[in-house]
Amino acid sequence: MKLLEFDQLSVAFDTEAGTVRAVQDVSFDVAAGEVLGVVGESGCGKSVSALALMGLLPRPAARIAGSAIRFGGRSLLDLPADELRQLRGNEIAMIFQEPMSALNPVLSIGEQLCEPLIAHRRLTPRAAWAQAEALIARVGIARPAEIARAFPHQLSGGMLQRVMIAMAISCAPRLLIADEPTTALDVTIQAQILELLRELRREQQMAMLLITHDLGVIAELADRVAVMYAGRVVEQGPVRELFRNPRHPYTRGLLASRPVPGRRLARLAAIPGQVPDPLSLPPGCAFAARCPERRTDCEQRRPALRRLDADHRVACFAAEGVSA
Amino acid sequence: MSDYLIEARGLSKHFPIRDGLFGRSTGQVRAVDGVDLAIRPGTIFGLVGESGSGKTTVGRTLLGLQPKSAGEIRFRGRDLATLSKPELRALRPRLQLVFQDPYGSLNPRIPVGEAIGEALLEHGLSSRDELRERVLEVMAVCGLAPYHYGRYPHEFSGGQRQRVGIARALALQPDFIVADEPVSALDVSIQAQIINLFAELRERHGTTILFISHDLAVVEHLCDDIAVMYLGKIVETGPRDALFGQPRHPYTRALFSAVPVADPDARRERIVLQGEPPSPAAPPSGCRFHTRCPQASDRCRDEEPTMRPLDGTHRVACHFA
Amino acid sequence: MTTLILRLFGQRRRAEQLAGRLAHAHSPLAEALRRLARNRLAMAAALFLALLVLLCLIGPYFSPWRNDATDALMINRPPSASHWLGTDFLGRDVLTRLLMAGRISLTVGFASVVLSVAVGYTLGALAGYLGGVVDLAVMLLADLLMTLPSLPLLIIMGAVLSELKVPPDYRIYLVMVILSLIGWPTLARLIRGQVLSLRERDFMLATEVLGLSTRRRLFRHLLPNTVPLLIVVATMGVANAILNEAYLSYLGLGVVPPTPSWGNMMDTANSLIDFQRRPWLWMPPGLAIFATVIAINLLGDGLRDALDPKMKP
Repeated sequence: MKLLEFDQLSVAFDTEAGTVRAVQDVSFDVAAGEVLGVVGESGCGKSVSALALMGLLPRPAARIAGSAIRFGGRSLLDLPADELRQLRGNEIAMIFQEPMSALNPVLSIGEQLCEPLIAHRRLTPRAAWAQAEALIARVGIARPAEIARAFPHQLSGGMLQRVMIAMAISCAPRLLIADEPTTALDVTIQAQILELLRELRREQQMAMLLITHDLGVIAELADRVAVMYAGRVVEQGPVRELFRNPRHPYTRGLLASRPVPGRRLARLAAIPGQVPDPLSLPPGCAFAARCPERRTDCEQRRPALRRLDADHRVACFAAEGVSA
Repeated sequence: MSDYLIEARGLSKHFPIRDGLFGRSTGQVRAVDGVDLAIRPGTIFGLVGESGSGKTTVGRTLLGLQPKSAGEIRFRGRDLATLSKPELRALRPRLQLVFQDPYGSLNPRIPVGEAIGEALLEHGLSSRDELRERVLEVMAVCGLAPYHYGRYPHEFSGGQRQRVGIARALALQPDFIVADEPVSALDVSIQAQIINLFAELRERHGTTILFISHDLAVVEHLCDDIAVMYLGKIVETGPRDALFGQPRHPYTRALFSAVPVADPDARRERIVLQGEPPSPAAPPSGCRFHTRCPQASDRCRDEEPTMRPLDGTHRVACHFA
Repeated sequence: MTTLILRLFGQRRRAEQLAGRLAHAHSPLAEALRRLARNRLAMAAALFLALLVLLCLIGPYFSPWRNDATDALMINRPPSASHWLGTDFLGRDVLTRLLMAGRISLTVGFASVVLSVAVGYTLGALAGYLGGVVDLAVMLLADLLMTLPSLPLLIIMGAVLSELKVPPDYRIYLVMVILSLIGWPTLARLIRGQVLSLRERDFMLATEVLGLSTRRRLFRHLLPNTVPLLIVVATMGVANAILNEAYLSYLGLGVVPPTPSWGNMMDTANSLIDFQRRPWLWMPPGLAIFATVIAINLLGDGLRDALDPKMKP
């Protein structure tokens, strides 16, 4: 059984200017201990999906439609608020792009680490503090006793992200949602954090929903990948298959638009144009206007996400035509 | 006349740390500390480093936006310090800057056509009659349509705004552009468009660019010469092929190996550096990298390595390279 | 105005079409006005204020009574068909006086804000842009004025005016000056803060890189970005000035009879008999002050929301 299932999730926001369809009919799943990478550009709906899963979308501005988000077989969308709270931080944990804004500036690192331990694990304050120091050491910070007494502004971005990870793993969650966990960090620090996440995952058999715009990070960490564009999943598959044999023109465009070390080209194969306005998405395929393989009916009809082989799905008429 | 369009020698910029009631200076941050740079005309020079390495300060000091603490800057062989005020003002449009943040660098109350053209008028580089023509021309070069002329910045996406920022700099037909992380705030597919635009500027217009970035893949793709900075100093510099082909400084090597590659099978040997970069207010003694260097010895702690030429213009500051 | 009325009567689509035709440019100001037009509460307040001004301006011309015409036979009469809001202790028509008083009170409020904006904006912008000694001096003066409690100050200055035997006709000008003296420091502080933070923005650095002249940097780039804040603060300032004028005049230290103002009309409430038995004497000016101040504040809130300096993408 899958640990996490998104079943035709749709999220829309009512704004002054109209309805923004942030996420439309998104389905994917994560098996226990598996890392699913969700990749896409800003506004593609990847973060909104994660927030929906955490029950953190602002209501009533956000309207959630579609069947369900299931975690361990339970539907999260109908779960009462207090049960959802029990689940959050305990079985599902989350780390963010900006660790500084996710931590409370007036509490010490140790105090913030103790909170979930006392709330979810029912530890005594003294035991919780000892556990907090152990966690700080676990995420590779030297001098844990000293850092536990420090406040967020005294630590660097990389250290704070380690603290966030320590907080996330404190209750041994079954699922970790990592929303752009290394985007705000320097390259050498990013390498440290990726290494740490890889280690933790191996050790704790923790499933991960890795949200990022960086295909490099995906290639380093993910088992399977879902590519999102304008609120929909356009391609999904095992990481090797997707990088070796990308079928959606958008996935190909993304891969081609990053320079590859050692392979020197005169020009990058940039995707022309812009992401469509989420207020007025075209009736057909949202990528059609930028697509080099556009066919006549792409702008009118929307391709469904169809299975190509084993676990590789794509939403594109051109890709279907080739395989048929 | 020298071979270089712009040269910096021993360039330093120290910021005082002010403290207490009367703003006494209690120390200084050596943001840039003795940097030598030389940029050939018509090339893109990549300046690479992590946050706090001083790369932004180098760019702004080169443009004269911040007074330097020490060293000299030569533009077409002339020392900028010897120029008079009017001469400096005349030079102003020749040296331009493209910002990282496409949102904050455009005035929200000024239509983009005006923003691109206003400096042309100010410097008498265009008459009022031909201004619109000139602006539309440079907008076209940067991939903006004529109907964008009267629009305001908030009507544009991030990538388009960056095009406006580049067009604004380009309109003055500058000899030298400092581009400070010009693509890092943009989405991947848009980044490629802007990177291609810079490459076109070099090839079609012969613009000389200092491209400041933390993104090694982009720098390798775009730049002719590269310098790697760590804590206010250049640790290695040279032509792209030499630097990427045979990186000699341990920091350069670690930096290169840390870049995630979009290929799940490319499990290269990775050098993961331990710890964090020290504060530039209290840099380590000797070699500034020794606290994180996998090869550090006692000598590195005590003695600061000097820049040594390897072959041609490839130079490195390491005792063991 | 037509858009406004259509909007209020719920004819959204018509109004939007009209607004669409009116707005050629998507300048931030035009967008702000469009946002403001969607705010029903603020629009109702604006409409109310417009009607009030119109009424005060042309109302008295249609009145059969002159504002200072006394009538010994018609003293303290309750509202009737001929005197809609009754008459006062000299037999003057309360409605006519109310409208005349509105002219005075609104003028005093508006003019004193114009004065304090002129002083406060200039000094605040100079302090923020020049910094150094100018900044220090301006802020010292502003702080000094702000530490003085305003009501006692108003009372003392009003009393001095009374001692000087200034003719009533001139007094309203002096009241304006006094009110603006109290109003400018707040404005100067806000504008200074705004200028300081704008100076640090990348687009101001860009003007330096482009080598633009100081004049253009100041008047085309820096100051226009302070206008939204100025509009909001000035609007709220009018409400404040009207209230201050009412305090002063109620105490007999501001605008004095026979010149009517909403404040001095209310002083009839000082007498117990008038207060209990003749509410038509003090209720109308009281309600006028109340409604005007609320309307201005609602409009000010609406403007603040519409002009939100964080430009939405």
